[in-house]
Amino acid sequence: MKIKSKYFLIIMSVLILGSIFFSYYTFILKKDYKIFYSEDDIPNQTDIISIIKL
Amino acid sequence: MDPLSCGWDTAKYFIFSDNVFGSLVYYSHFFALIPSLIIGLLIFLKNPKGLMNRILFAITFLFSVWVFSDVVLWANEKIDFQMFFWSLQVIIEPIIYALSLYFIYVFITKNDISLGKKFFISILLFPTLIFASTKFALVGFDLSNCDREVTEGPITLFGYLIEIIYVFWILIFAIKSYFKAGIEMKKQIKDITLGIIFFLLSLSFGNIIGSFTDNWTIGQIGLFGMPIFVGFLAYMIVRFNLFNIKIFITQILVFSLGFLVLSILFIRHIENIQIVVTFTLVFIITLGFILIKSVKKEIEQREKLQILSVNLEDANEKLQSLDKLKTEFLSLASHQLRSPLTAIIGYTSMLLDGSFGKISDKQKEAIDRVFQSSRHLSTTVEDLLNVSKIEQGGMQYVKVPFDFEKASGDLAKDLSVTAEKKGLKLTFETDGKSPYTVNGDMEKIRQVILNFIDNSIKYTKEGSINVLLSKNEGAIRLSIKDTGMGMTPEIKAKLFQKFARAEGGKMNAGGSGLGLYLAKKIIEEGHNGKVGVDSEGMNKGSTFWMELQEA
Repeated sequence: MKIKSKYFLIIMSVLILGSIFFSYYTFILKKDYKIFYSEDDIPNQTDIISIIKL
Repeated sequence: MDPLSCGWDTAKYFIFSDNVFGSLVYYSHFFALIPSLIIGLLIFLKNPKGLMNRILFAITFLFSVWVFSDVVLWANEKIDFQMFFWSLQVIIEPIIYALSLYFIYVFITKNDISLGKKFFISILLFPTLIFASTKFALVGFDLSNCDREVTEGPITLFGYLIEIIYVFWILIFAIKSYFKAGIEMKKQIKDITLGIIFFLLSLSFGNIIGSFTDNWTIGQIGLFGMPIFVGFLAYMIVRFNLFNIKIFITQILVFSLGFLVLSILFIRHIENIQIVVTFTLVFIITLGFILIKSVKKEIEQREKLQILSVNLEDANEKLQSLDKLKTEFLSLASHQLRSPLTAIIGYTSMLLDGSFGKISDKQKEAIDRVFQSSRHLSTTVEDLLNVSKIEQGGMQYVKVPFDFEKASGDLAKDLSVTAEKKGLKLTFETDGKSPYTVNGDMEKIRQVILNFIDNSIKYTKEGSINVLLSKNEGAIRLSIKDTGMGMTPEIKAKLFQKFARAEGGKMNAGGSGLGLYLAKKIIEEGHNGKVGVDSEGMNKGSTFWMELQEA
């Protein structure tokens, strides 16, 4: 395998494992998520777009 | 709503609970997970360095993680696990698509793709990888009802979009390659693309339907596409012998069948038993049909092979006995010919010497022709006898150290008279590094030297023949260089074969075509030496040489 391809594979692996780790850290360790007890609390698609804009 | 009021069952070992809609979830998921993981692992272990093997292993591994996550999502009641495994699917699912596209590229082109293309394929994954654990991907957990659903954000929906892009990418590349490919490759492209597309669609089917309709029960049906993909992959491997693991795959299929039947026992509620039994039956019939067809084909091939083998054995025996008969005939005929020939040569020689009185010149000329022809015939008979001895393995070599310079010098001197008669100059030289002692059968080596010089005289119309004896690093080399007709590389390649003669036939130079064949056998097989010929081409002369180890 070429060295550049090797680096690419390492970068991608780090990115994937990092993403999984952050997900684990956020949701399982920190329990950082919102709970919607009522349907009114759930943002609709427009709200989601406003989240992105923010 | 309070989770407690939903009455969710507490999952044992993450995945075993009554929270699932039906036992079909376990059935469809485990039947996909276990065989695909085993097949992926087997393919990887078969050739860990093979690129296709690695990619397929990565796909089956990620697929297994995805399937496991899905079971957790169906069965587990804990909200943090729901969030984590949901995000895990958001991360993994597009990667499986990207890897499938990579696999199709490598499968069709049989080569790795460029770094630029790898980057281009991967860049689409970056948003989901970066934002998977944020509110952009998963907004929160919906407790407004008891459905245990995560509210998905735009990044998750973007993930579905790039999955569609990957599917179209695969289709476009496969269709383009299909039209450029040969017949056999076309079949492979068609089958593997259909298999991959079917797999990818069935993978996302449940999630996409669930996301857009909030009906996750329908999505379960799509999950049966996964075991079908695994079966399809196995079929591809058997049909095209893709990873050379045909026998393993048959074992895996039989194992899967056992697992399928066994899993029925562990289904906690049998409300879906009809579907389970129907699915199992379809699988058994399909697998049974494939296996019976395969066994039938193998048996037919084996029977054909057995018949061929018996025929071959018979033919071989016949050939051996014919070859033995031929050699015996040659030997017998040569012996029978040799005795009268010796008498003819002896008496004609005596007639020519005048032992039976004076004869006229006309009579002398006629008798000389008889004498020369008989000698030629005698040489041919001698060659034939030697060939039959060699082929019977009966050639005996009486090896003693002898002076190679004297043997070759004497022969050159004897034959110089014949050369002079033809107007040729025959010289003998050494490189002055005497003694030139070799350990060998002097008579047979003399026969080879005689053959070489005699050939040079025969095939040289004018000019000279130079016999040179030299020594280099323990090897004694005798080369006979002439200014004769030379030869083409094609003739040179065939010259030392049985019954081969340069352009001698055209020149009517005579000879049995066995002399050089015998020379090669005597020097190379009998004395571990070397023989050869060098020539720059037709009419450029040639140099015959032999090399023997110094004693």
